[in-house]
Amino acid sequence: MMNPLEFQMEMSKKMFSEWEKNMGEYFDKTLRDQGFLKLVSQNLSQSLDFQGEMQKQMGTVLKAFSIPTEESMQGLYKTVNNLERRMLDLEEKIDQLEDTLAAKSEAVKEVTPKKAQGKTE
Amino acid sequence: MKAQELSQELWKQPKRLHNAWKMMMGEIQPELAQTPYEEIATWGKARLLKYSPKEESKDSPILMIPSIINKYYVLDLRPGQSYVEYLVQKGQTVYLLDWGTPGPQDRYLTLEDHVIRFIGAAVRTACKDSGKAKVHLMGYCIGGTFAILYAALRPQKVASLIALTAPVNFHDEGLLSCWASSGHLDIQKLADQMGSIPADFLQSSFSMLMPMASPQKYRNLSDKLWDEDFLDKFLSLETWLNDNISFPGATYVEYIKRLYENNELIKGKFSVGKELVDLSSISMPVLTVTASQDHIVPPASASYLHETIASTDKQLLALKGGHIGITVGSKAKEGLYSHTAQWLEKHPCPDQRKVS
Repeated sequence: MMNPLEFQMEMSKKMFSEWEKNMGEYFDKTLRDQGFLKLVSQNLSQSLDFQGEMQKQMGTVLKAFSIPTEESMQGLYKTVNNLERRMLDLEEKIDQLEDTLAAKSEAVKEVTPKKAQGKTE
Repeated sequence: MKAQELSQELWKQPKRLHNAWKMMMGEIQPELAQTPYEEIATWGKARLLKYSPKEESKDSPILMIPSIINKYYVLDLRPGQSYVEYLVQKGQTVYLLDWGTPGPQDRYLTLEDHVIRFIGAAVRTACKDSGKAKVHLMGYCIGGTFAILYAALRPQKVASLIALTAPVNFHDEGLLSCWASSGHLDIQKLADQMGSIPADFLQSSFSMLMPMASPQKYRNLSDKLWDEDFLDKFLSLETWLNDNISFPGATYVEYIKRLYENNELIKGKFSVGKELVDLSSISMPVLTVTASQDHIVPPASASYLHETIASTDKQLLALKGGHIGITVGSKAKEGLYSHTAQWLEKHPCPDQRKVS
C-alpha cells in the first residue's frame, strides 16, 4: 500500500501528464484551424508591408546621401551569384570532359594490344 | 518510498542544485564537433570537410549532406554520440558538406545552385580526393531531399544513396504539410521582403510543431539534473537545436511552393533548373531510413522513395525514435550507425579512371 507522500507524488505526476496531453491536443487543434492560420498569415503580411515601407523610406534617405541602398546591394548579390554559377557550371563541364577522355583512353588501351596481337598473327 | 530510495533522492538534491547553478552561470560548455577534419574546398559559404580514419581507409568513402536549416554538426555532435566519428572509427573516409551560414547576399541562391552546383562540386571533389569513380551519398532531412534530387539527375558518380528521414511525399498528416498546403501564407512576399528567411522564424515554426515538447523536456531535465553525463548530452543537443541558420529566400520559395504546396516531386512534375526529376529513374543501391516517431518527416513521407525507385538493391530501414533521436540518441550506435557501416562495407566504390 502506498504511503501518503508516495500517493501525492503519483497523483501530481498523473495530473501533470494529463495536463500535458490536453494542452498538446488543444495546440494541435488550434494550429490546424484554418481561421487561426489565416489570422496569423494576415498579421505577418501586414508586418511585412510595414517593413517594406520602412525600407523604401530608408532607401530614399540613403540615395540622397549617395549611400548604397538595399536595391543596389541586391544587384551586386545577383552579379556575384551569377559569377559563382558560371564558374561551377564550367567546373562540371571540365569534369565531364575529363571523364570522357579517361573512358576513351581506356578503350584505346584495350584495343591497342588486340590490334598488335592481330598483326603478329 | 523506502529508506534507501529516500537517501538516494536526498543525495541527488544538492547535485541538482549545484548543476543548476553551474548551468545558469554558463560554466558547463558542451564539447561539440570534436572529430578532427580538414577543409578541402569552399564554394561561397559552403565548405567541404574531410574526416580521415587513423588507419588505412576502406573502399567506401561517403559524402554527407546535412539539412540546410541547421548546422552540420548534428552529424558529429559530441564524442561517443557522433555519426561521423563512428564511421571514421570503422575505417571509412567521411566527407561532409557544411552549407555555412547564409547571409543577405545568399538570398538569390536557388535549389538548382544547392543541388546541382554545390552538391555536384562536393561529389566531384570527394571523388578526386579519394581516387574513386563514385562515392556514397547520404542526405539528412532536407539535405536528403537534395541528395535524392542529385542522385536522380546526376547518377554517374553516386555509388549508393542513403536517404535519412528525407521528405519525398510532402502531403501527409504532419503540421508542416497542413500549414504549407493551407495557402494562407504568401511565401513569395515573405522571401521578397526578408531575403533569406531568418533563423528565428524557422525556429519558432519548428517549436510550434510540438508546443508541449518544451515543458516535457524541462521536466525531464529537472529529474535528471544530478546526472552530469545526461546534462552534457542535453546541453549539446540544446546548443545545436538553438543554433539554426537562415534559409536562402529563392530556395525557400521553390521548396515550400513546389514541394510542400504542390507536391510536384511525386507527381513527376518537379524540375531542378530545366531538368525534370523522375524518381523512378533512380537505379543505384538505395537505403531509405525512417523514424517511427518523426513529427517533422512522417515515416510515410520518407518511405515513399523506397516504393518508387527502380533500384533492385534497395532497403527500407524503419528505426524506432524521432527525427533527431535516431541520429544522436542513445540507440543510434546499434541502429543507424551500425546499419550504415554495414551498408558501406557491402558496397565498395570503384576506382577512378585516369587519362594516360
